[in-house]
Amino acid sequence: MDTSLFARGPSPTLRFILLLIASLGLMVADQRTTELERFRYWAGSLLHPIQSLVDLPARTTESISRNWATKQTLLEENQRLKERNRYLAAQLQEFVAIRNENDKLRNLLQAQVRPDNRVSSATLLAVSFSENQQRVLLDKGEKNGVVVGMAIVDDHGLMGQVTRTYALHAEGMMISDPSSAVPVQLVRNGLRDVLAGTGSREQLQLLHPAKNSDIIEGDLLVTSGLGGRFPPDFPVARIVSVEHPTDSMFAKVIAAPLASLEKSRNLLILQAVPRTVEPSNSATSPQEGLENSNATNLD
Amino acid sequence: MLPIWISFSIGIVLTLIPLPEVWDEFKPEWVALLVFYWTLTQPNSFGIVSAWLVGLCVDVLTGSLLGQHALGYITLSYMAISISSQYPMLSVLQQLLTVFVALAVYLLLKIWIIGISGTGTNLSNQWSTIILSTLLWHWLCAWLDRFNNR
Repeated sequence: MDTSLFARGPSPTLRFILLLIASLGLMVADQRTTELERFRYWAGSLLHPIQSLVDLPARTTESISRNWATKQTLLEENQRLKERNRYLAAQLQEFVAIRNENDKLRNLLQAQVRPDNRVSSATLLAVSFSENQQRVLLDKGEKNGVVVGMAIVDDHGLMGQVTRTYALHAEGMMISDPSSAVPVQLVRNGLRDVLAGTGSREQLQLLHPAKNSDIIEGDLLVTSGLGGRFPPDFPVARIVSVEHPTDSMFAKVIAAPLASLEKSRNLLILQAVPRTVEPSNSATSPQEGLENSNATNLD
Repeated sequence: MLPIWISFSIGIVLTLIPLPEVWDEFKPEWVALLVFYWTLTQPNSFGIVSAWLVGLCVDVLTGSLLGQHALGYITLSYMAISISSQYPMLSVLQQLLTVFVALAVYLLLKIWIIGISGTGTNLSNQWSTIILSTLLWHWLCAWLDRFNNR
């Protein structure tokens, strides 16, 4: 079996058997315990240069297109963004007023005040990975304040959650991963259910919707906030098909994610932080409220 | 030694790079091919232990079960060592068949591990990657032989 002329140390067969046992031991330990998370953290942080190499082609094309952009297009884009900013600022004023009113009403009802979201932006380093796991890599890690359980959103809707953090990057699970489940609520009638991933990036499935439940095509699903992991009322998916198979006790409801899981590169990571509002605080001006919500930005 | 580690860095990056969903099932098993090639041609500088370390790196980087790729790669490396003396005598077609069988064993192990640990589903479309990887074998060899001063 040994083919090299001057073999040193144990024979290949012995080495193979020893490492085979070591790998099996590692797999069992990784599956059953969390002891190896420390090792993963350090190894993953050490291998970070390789992760950034993955991002290199996308970054290069971005910087090339930035360098080649003409002054005219930049001016036009600037103009467009300014208009958009003005429009959003106007909407925000309204939002702040409504939020103050909502806080006051909730105080009157002695209900809990809606949580604030701590937001930080991140860029996608890589998508997918092995054997049908739908995972993403983000370029922000523990050092940037990212913790396990934070929600990942793009500008259309929920994308997933952070499942593992390293020093300078983090790993997230997309809502389309077969092991992902998001507590959701139907906007139209408040029906609550759990939305599970199927492994395909275009299809999500509701878990166990009753056959007679009032769900129709086009209904919007938002996070319900139950379970405390995802912030409430974030758009998640839209129903695309409702079937009533005769051989099952449940309806088969398929939804399409609103976030573009294939294309989005610029994302937000957010975490709900409880907010306390004093009843005497009711005289907050909209401007002050605006500053408060900006102060919670992480970066 | 340097060409070996540079080729593995490139192979791992190619494995991790995001592709549209349709192309995912045609992603060749770059790292597996590299493990097979280097053990076949340079068994004294790249052996089973190196294959194991590469496997652990891939496990950490892809977030898969720790030891899963490591086990697959040491099996490939061991198969390469076992046939390395006969391999140059084989015809081109027989060489391709050898690579295909080795990769098939590797894939089977992978499917078993995933099945037992329950960390994935729907693995039927993985065979296309093996066929594609086999077809790339001679092209990869020709390319790597240029940097490989045996």
